[in-house]
Formats: sequence, C-alpha cells, structure tokens
Amino acid sequence: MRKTNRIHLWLIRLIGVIVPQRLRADWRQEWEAELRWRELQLSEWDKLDWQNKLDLLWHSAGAFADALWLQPKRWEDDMMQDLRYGLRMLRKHKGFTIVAVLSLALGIGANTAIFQLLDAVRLRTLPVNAPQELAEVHITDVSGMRGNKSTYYPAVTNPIWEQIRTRQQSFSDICAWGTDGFNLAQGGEVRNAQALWVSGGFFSVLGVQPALGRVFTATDDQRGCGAPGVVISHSFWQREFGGDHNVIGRKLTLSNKPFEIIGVTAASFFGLEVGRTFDVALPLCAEAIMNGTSNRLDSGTNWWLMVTGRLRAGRTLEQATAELQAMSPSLFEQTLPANYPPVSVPKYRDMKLAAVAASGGYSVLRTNYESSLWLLLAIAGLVLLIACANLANLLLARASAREREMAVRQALGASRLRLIRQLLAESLLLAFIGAGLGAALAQGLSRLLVSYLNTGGNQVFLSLGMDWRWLGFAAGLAVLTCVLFGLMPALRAARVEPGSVMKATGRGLTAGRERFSLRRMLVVVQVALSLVLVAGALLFTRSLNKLLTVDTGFRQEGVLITRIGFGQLNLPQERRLSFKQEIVDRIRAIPGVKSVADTGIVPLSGNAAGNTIWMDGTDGQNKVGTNRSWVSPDYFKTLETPLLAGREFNEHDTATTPKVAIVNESFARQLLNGVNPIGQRFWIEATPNNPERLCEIVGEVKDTTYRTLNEETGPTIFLSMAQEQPFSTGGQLLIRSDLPQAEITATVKRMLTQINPAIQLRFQGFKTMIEGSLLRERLLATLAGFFGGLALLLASIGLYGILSYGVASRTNEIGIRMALGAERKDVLWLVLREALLLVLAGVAVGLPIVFFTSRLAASLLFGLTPTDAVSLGLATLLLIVVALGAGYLPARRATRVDPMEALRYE
Amino acid sequence: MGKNYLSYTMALILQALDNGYRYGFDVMTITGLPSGTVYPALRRLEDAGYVASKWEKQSVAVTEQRPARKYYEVTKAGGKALVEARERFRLLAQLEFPKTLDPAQEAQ
Repeated sequence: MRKTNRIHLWLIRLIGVIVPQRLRADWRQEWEAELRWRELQLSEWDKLDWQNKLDLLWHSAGAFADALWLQPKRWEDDMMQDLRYGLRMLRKHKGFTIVAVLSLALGIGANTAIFQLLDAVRLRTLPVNAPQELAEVHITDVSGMRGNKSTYYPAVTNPIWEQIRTRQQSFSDICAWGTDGFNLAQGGEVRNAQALWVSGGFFSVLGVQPALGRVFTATDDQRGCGAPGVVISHSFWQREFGGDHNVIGRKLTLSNKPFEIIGVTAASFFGLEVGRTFDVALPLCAEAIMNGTSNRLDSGTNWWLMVTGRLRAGRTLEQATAELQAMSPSLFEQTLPANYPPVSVPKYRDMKLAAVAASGGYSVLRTNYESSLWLLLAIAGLVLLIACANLANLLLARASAREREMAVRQALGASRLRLIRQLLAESLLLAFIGAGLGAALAQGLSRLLVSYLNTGGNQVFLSLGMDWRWLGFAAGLAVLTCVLFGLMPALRAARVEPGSVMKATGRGLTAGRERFSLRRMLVVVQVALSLVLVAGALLFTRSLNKLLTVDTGFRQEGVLITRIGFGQLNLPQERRLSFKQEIVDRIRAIPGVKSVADTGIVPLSGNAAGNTIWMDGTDGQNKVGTNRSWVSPDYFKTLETPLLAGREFNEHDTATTPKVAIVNESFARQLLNGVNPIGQRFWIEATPNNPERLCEIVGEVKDTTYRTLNEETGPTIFLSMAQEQPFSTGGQLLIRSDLPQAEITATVKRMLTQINPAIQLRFQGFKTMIEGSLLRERLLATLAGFFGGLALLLASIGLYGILSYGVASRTNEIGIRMALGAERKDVLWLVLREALLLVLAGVAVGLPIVFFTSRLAASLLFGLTPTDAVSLGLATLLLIVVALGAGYLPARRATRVDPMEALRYE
Repeated sequence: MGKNYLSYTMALILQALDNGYRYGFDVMTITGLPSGTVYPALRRLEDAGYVASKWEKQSVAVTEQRPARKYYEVTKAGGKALVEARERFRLLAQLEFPKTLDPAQEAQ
C-alpha cells in the first residue's frame, strides 16, 4: 500500500524544484510530513478510499500555488546574490563597465539593426490573411517581351490578365495589380501620390478589411466603369485627412481627375510590395478615365500588371504551374497583339506561365539589398566578436588582479562551481545591459538606415515594429556574447591554487607566461578580424570612389533636371513640339543659363530603351542590340559631351526630313570597325510604335554612361526628338547654368507657372540624382568604413591593454635592464617589438581569411578584384600604425621606470 | 498586505490556528479552504509576524514513522489582529470550531 500511494509525494518532489533553493529542504519536509500524516490518519480512520486518495492528490497539487508564491523569495537566493554582487563589482569598476557596456551595446545594436532590416525585407511574410497560400503568376521566358514594361516585377498585359482570370482553375481567387504615381496637386510642382491599380478581387484575395467604408469588389471593376471610387491607405488617411472619420464620400483629385473616397484600408496593410507603401488604390477599369484613349486596357504591348492568386485548398504550386503551362499556347495565341513586332511573334507564342510562392511579397529593395544586408550582418557580427575578445581580455586581466580574492574565497570553502557561477553572473549582467542598450540603439539605427535609403525619388517604407524574431535575436546575442567573453576568464579564474597564490605575496620578476599567452592569442585574433574588416572597408570605399570617378563622358555639375508635363493643356500632336520649344527658348533666355536641351532618357536615371539595329547593306546579317535615346538640339552641348565628328541635331531636322542619328564611339568601333561613321546608314527594327526605318548618321560623340555607372558602355544611338513620333506631352529638360540650384529652380518654376499654371513640374539636380543611384555602394562603403573603424578602435584598446599589463608586470625586469645600462630606446623597442609581433601575427592569420572571404563580396565591387593589393596593403599598414600607436603609451611608461624604485620592492 | 488589515480568509485561518488547529492540513480540513490558498496565506501571516512556525519534536515523528511536521502558532501581534478582525467580521466571532478532526469522535 505504502508504495502505491506515493504519487503525491513524487508530485511534491517535482514541484519542489521550482522552490528557491534556500527554502527547498524545509518546504519539502513540511509538505511531505503533512501528506504522510494525513495518510496515516486516514488509514487509522479506515477511510483511505479512492475518493480520499484523489482528495489528497488534489491537496498536494495546491503545493504548486504555494511554490509560486515563494518565487519572490528567490531574490535572496544564490543566483540573486551573485547578480547583486556582480552589480556591486560593476559599479565599483566604472571605467571597465562603461567600456564593456558601450562596446557590447554598439556591437549588439548594429547587429540587431541590420537584422531588423533583413527581417523586414526578407524573413517576414506579408501582413495579410494566410500569406503562404499566395502565389505569383508570371511568364517564365521574357525574352520575347516587347513594348513598354513599367515595373521591375514580372508583369503581363491587361489582355493576358483577363484571359488568365477567365481560364484558370487552380486559384480560389486571383487578382492583378500594378503601381503608378498620380499628382495630387492641380498644376505647379508635382505632389506625388503612390498609387495601386487593382483588379476587383485584389482585396478579397488578400483578405484585407477596410478600417473605414468599404474596399473594392468585383462589381467595382467592370470595363467602362463610370466614376469609380478610390480606396486610400491608412497612412494616407492620417497624413492628408488627419484621420477624419467623415472622409468617406469626400473628393480626391488625382492627376486632375476627381475621385470619391469610398474606403480606408487597415493600418497594417501596405500592399504587396515590401519596401514601398501605397497612398491610393483605383480599380483597373479607371485606367480608361485616367489615361483616356491612350489607356492600357486593350494594349498588348504594355506590361504593367502583376498577377497574384490564392491557391485552392489542396492545390500545390506544381499543379498550378502545370495547369498554367497547359493553357499557355492557346492563351498567348488568342492575345497576340496585331502590332507586335513580327520578329518577336514566335517568341510571344512560345511564352509560358508559371506559379511561384508569393508569401514574402514583391520587393525591388530585396533584390537590390539582400546580399548587401547579409554581408553587413556578417561584418557587424565580426565587430561583435572583436568586442567579445576585447572583453574577455579585460576580464582575464581583472581575473589575474582578483587572483588573491578567488584564492581566499576558495580557501574559505567556496566551491569552484560557485566561483564560476559568480563570475558568469557578472558577464551575464554586462551582456544583458549591453543587449538592452543595443536593442534601444537598434531602433534608432534601423530607422536611420531606412531614412538613408529614402531619397527623394526613391520612397522606402518598411514596417519595423516589434517582432519576436529580432527581440529573440538580440537576447540570443546577449547570451552568446556572455558565454564568449565570460566563460573562459571564469574557468581560468576559478582554477587558481589557493596555496600557491597566497604564498606568492609580492610580484615575480616576470609575469606568469601561460595566462598571458592566452590573452596574446585573443589579441592576435582581434587583429586578424580587424584586418578583415579594415580591408573590406577599404575595398568598398575604393570601389565607390572608382564609381564616382568613372569617366561618364559628360560633366555632372551645374545641370538641373526639370521634368515637365502638360497633358492638362490637351494640345494636339502638331502643337506639342513647338510648345516645348517655346519653353526651352524662354528658359534659355534666363540670365545665367548656358544651354537647355530635352531628352527622352536622362542618363544614369535608371531608365533605358533599346533597339536592335543593323547597318544598311548588310541584309540584317549582323544585328546588334543598342541603347537608344532621343534628344533635342544642344543636348551634347548641355552635357558637355565632346562631339568627335559631324554635327548635333538642329532645327532643320524635322518630321519631314530624312531620319538622322548620332552614334557613340562604341557604335563606330563595333559596327563599323572604326570607319568614319558620318554618312553611314543603319536600320532600326520595327517596334509597336514605328515600322522598320532607315537612319543616317550625322554625328559621332564620345562614349557616355547610359543606365548605370557600373556597366560597360555599349553601342548607343541618339535619335532626333523632332523625328520621334508620337510627340509626348512631357519632357525632361536639362538646364546648364552658373546659378545655384535653388535659384535656378525658383526662376524656372516662376516662369513655367507664368506660361501656364497647369504645367506639372518636378525638379532634381543631375549630380544629386547620380549620387542617389549609388546608394547601395555608398551604404556599404559608409557602414563597412564605420565598422572597420570600430574594429580598429577595439583592437587598439585590446593591444593597449595587454601591453600596459605587460609593462606593469615587468617593471622589475625593466628596472634591472636599465640598471645594467639599457638605454631608453632599448626599453622603448622592447615594448614596441611586442606590439609589432602581435600585429604581424594577426596579419599573418588575417590575410588568408581576407583572401578567402573577400571573394564573397566580389559581385558588389566595381573596378577592383576582391584581393586588391592596394586595399590589403593599406589595411596592413593601417593596423601596424595603430599597433605602434597603441604600444607607444605603455612603452613610454616603461622608459620612465626608475631603476632604484623598481628594485627596491624586490 | 496591509499590516492592519486581514482579509476574511486570512482572519478565518488565523482563527483556526487560534483554536488549536496548528498544522496546514488541519486548517484546510476545518475551514474547507484549498491547500493552494491556505499555504500561501500561512506564509504571508508568518511574513507579517502574526504567526510563528516551529518544527514538531523529532521524537514524536520517529514513533509515528513519518517526517516531523511544521506547526504554526499565533503570535501576540497575531492575537491583536484577530481581535480587530473579529470586530469587523461579526460572523467570525460566532464561529465555533469542533475540538477534533476525527469523524468517528465527532459523531459521538
């Protein structure tokens, strides 16, 4: 009986585990005694039936509440004692604490901030209903895609989308969406609203609820919809309407068209694009209202819609892809546009649709920055490692200073485990204070990074709210760092032999070598890691510098880009060119303006156009893809691009005269083998807008960069704007002047508003725009530089620490040497040699690491190999200089040792 | 817990102790309160200085072949607090506690 009825006693033993240790024995005895006594009593009364046994078990379960109630008493437990003792030690050694906490906070903060960005860009799924069921439908081979593609993402035309919608079976619900920008202002400087075109099913596919009013349904998106409403985002509602609850029904003017607000989306919803938010959403059918006859609803050459669907329950991506593949041939046959360039028709017919997971949403930011962010995380991780090595070193130094304390405590009966626990508690405290500060710092840092990416033309929106992932990340870092920098010193400190330490009262001639060599090893590791970081920083900085000094073929300074739009004036085709000419003439007349030109493509803006061409008389044997731009007279003069032969366009090149073109050096070299290009003629392939046409080359210019700074310049053709029909109702005017940018901007704005207040305006400095295009490179260079500097600082602190300690413990030795006739410079060298040896050892370890790891960054470098000798050499030199600097102070202290003083204590 | 104010439950437990039920389990049996209430209450009363705990004599425990029990006694301060509480909770003053827990004796 006794054995079978002891479940409650086991329960007590189990619950006892959570009782503070100090109280545990008493607590267990009390409960055990009570239960045993009760059991005895019950059996005496002959009442030990199941009912009472269960009752007993129930009572013993109450011990849990009792144990919980005792938790606050843990404060007096060993652990708390350790922590309180640790806190006292940290308060007592303020300098050490400040250095330790700051370096940890910086390290952990930097890591967490970068992780937070990565989390937002890469790891998190979309904040919509069941994002794992979402799939993106796209065309697998896009080489046959012709016409205008107005997005970075895999897009389809509206006719293709309408076919997918009717034919597909794999998705329970499917939608299409595209991005656009509308003007909130009515004339004058443009106020941009980021817009979404959405099909009727968009909100239901994503399961997005309105915060106010309603969102679109299929009935809102019908061809020929008269005056559809507009759905606005939560942030836009807050920003533009101050969160007014009576906003439903109010009118919003988008690019001069009035729309009625019908709803506000939930606060967490930012669209499907990570890194970007939206202000307003319109149904696809409203394109006809917005863009009139030139709308894209029936265009088979405007690729502007992304297709996203929710898989039917039980369907896999593979099944969906199979279905899409099967329907592709007939779908593309049916949607083949009449004006499709004949060359590309077979490829169009061969296009295939496929489905891929879309739970993470779409993101240009991710494509552009993901690898950089991982790299930065690795760099920040190295900095943290260096900081840990530094702290371990400091703790080791303190451990030797506390050797006697440890010996005394051990002699008084403290166990080794107890000592280790106590020392670890100190580092745990440091780590958590550091992590706390670091997490706070990360909040600021990650926002700073986002604002860094957020330049005028490139609005970046990332939701960086609290997230268990990065909180866990920060806490994990804290524990890891604590173990890294705390465990080794703690183990060592607790290993002292009380007897030997207490016997050795004074100091010896030289310090104990063993412990010292561990600290040296740590410094060597620090130096090696610093070398990696410094070399990386130099590589990125030099790469950026190379990009900034690329010969662009034009002068970037002193040019203002003025983007104009006069669609509101409803000018007929034939008036548009002369109207623009009038604007150009009036701007040119402004005092201080040197020249003005209009261009279809602003170089380095990221925009591009291309055509396949072949030389006249070659029967199209040698077709070459070229970059294309269309420019007004004075374009090359404005950009100060040297004209190598022939002439610029002039007012005699008109729509009715033979087509003319200007080509660049690469064109002449590749297509004409260096023959003088003037007078040669070439064919441009047929495009959706133009038939095949013949152009005569009238000028040759120096090579200029086209789309981005880090690409090779290929053959480029410049066509005359006056000959490029249809004429647009917009322009990108490049204005070269001596005036400060603010002044010329104000003058041009005033003048254009005078001409007609309905003209839309957007200004940007040319140089500013180019520098903005190097954002990623600049970010990498800046952060890598910052981390490299930090690493250097930490390494020099480590070096300084170990050298000072060396000098202090070798005072006697130095004293004897000086007494025996050593000169100051000998002593100086004694210490500096040590610094130099440490740094060289570090370099020897670090260089192979650099060779091995810098390859990973190769794709992010421009004009440099990852093992660039200059960067590596410079990094090594820098470390040696820093090492000598860090060694100088202790070395000078060593030379001031008074031999008599030093020897007196022997 | 305010030092001068006892909740009804606490007062009830204090009164049970005062009536000679000195062990946690006896208090539970007589008051019908669950162990999860009685034990934390005892700890709080002890922290407040209203009761003091002692271990039972080892010899008693040995003869009964079980571990020694811990018992609680009302202190002077506890007695005062109980008087005050009885004034507040009039019903408490009316309560009579049986002298023994043995159901057989109780029946007699």
